[in-house]
Amino acid sequence: MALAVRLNEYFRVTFSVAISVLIGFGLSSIFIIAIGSNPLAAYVALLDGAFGSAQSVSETFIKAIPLIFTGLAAAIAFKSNVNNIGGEGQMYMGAIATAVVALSIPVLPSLAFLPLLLGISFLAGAFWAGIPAFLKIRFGADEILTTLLMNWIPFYIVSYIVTGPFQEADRIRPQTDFIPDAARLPAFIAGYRIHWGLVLAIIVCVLAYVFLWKTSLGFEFRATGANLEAARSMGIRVNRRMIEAMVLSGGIAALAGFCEVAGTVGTLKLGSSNILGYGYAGILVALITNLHPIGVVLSGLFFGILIVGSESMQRGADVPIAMVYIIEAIMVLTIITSQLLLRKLGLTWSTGQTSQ
Amino acid sequence: MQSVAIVVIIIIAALAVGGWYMMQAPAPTGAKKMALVMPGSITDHGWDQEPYEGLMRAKADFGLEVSYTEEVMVTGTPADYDRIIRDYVSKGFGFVICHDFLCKDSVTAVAKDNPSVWFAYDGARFDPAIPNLIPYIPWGHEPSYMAGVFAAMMSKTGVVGTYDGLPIHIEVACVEAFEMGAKSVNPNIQVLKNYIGVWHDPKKGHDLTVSMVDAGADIVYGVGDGINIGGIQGAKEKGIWFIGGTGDQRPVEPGTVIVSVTWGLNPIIYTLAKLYSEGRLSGTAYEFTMHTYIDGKQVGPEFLEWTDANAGKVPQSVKDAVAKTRADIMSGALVVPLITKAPGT
Repeated sequence: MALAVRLNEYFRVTFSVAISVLIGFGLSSIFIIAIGSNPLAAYVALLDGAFGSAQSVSETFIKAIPLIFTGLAAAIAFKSNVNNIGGEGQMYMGAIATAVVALSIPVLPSLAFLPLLLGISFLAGAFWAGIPAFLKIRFGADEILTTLLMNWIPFYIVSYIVTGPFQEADRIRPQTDFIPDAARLPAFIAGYRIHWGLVLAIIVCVLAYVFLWKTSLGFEFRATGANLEAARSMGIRVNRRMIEAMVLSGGIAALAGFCEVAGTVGTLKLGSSNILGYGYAGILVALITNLHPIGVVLSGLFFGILIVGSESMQRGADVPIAMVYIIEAIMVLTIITSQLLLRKLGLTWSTGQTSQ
Repeated sequence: MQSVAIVVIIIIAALAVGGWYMMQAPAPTGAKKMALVMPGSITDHGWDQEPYEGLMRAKADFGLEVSYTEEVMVTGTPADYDRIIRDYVSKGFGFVICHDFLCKDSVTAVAKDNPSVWFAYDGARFDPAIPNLIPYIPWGHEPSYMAGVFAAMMSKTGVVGTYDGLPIHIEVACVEAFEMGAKSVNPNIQVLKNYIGVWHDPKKGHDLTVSMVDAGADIVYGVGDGINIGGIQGAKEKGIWFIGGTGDQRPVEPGTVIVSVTWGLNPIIYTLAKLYSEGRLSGTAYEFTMHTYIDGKQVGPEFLEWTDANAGKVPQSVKDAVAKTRADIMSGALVVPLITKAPGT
């Protein structure tokens, strides 16, 4: 494609997303006015919360790390015709594996410890995603249902671990002891929480992009997702590709858990969210970028901004927490709607949906 | 590509905030500022609503400027406490209460960095190295013991039930004290105990309550908030009495919730706010039981008795037993054992 055409396309997409975000803020204002707050003050508080200081920028990136991983996990699965709704559970498996292994084995040097934990958590998530993949191919069990239900099992495994065998030495709080320093992802800058998990997330996204678009195996993944029957008749072993995509997706989701335990938090604690857990939010992160691995990095950041910023509206502008959900939902809806509209008007862009 | 679009938006947003930031000038009011950070919803009839109401009373009575953040654990994870607490500090708040036992690491780190700001969190152990960090804890074992006495005497089937979210210290203290209270009046009574695993899910509380009734229980004591909203509904469907927990849950369903154990979180937060506004906070652990008096007023957990509407449904013998148990606890004749580890763990 000629560069000029491509730039023109970039411009169009930029424009459409910018407009949909503005419309999103416009629509959200209606709700903010309805509860008697000032929308402008609310948005100032939102931006201030996300970018107001070096600390808040660091926090916004922190929030983006797990979202990038779970978003990428969803993108790879959806792109390959497997609907993995189990990112939440696979992420928990990664977190559990990281904490349990780091607390159980003798302390190793960082350079050996971190890759080991990363590998084990990847395998834990891949294993957890492999079960529904196997059930789908072998017995035709709908993976939407099985992955969704399997999210609850690791949730309760965490409950058990943090109140039972791995509860902290004080035996007071539902959390494990801190994992050894050698098992922690180092921070970029002293005094800020932002850590190397961000770089890891970006590297994994780039690798996923190269894999999906620049290798023949990646092409088979996408072909399986684009048209199952056509892919089958081309001689692609679609069942095998779907299992592989699911396993890869699960492993990547688990890295979100790895980064939370080894990076941001340092211990495994009870409780992540149930309403907008990183696993479920990852699906939205993937959807608004049309399942593009590089887009996932940016949309993960966008959600990080939205979550960190809209939550700080509570403190800066006395906006109730429910507004956070409303704004997030409106943003997703306006961005997805703008994509649909563009497609309907024949103004589609190539996010690689069909191009090779 | 959409990705580029988002980059541009981020840049625009960053520029916009830069501009706004320069225009903004904070207007100090001079009032002392206090913040409360909570894991759940301020409408949960328990862990979060009670402190929220205490904060609002303090705002009205002491002229404090207050702010709160709710549902941290619903919208996010324990990792978010760090950011929220630091945000309050940067906005000039002089006292930040983090009302969760999962925020200890976060609040400790921020307290070390900001020795001139007061912090409090739900915990028990004071660290002299961080004198501006106050642990506070509501021990609900005494009123739970009274609930056990009440339940055992009200039960006709000889089976009573109790449940909680997770088997951790202050929760285990309530569940075990309930059982001891029940067995003190009827050694043969069967006490069904269960930990649900979560606190926020009404459905699970409902289902567990119904299954306890099916196993013979005719009165159930729930320690929790979200799970109790469901448990109360289950008790209502089955036509049994329910004993509320963590806060005053009698108003939720006056025909079903006959008595309630409160941890007194409303007066606890109110009192901490009062001490802060008067400059009287001190570096120590604040533990609250039925014996805790501050400024001559009892502050802390309490057994809330039947309302006038239900008084006719409580036999005089039960009323006498509850009154005697209360008198013994208050006089020290009865010391309710504080058990913080579930048997078998």
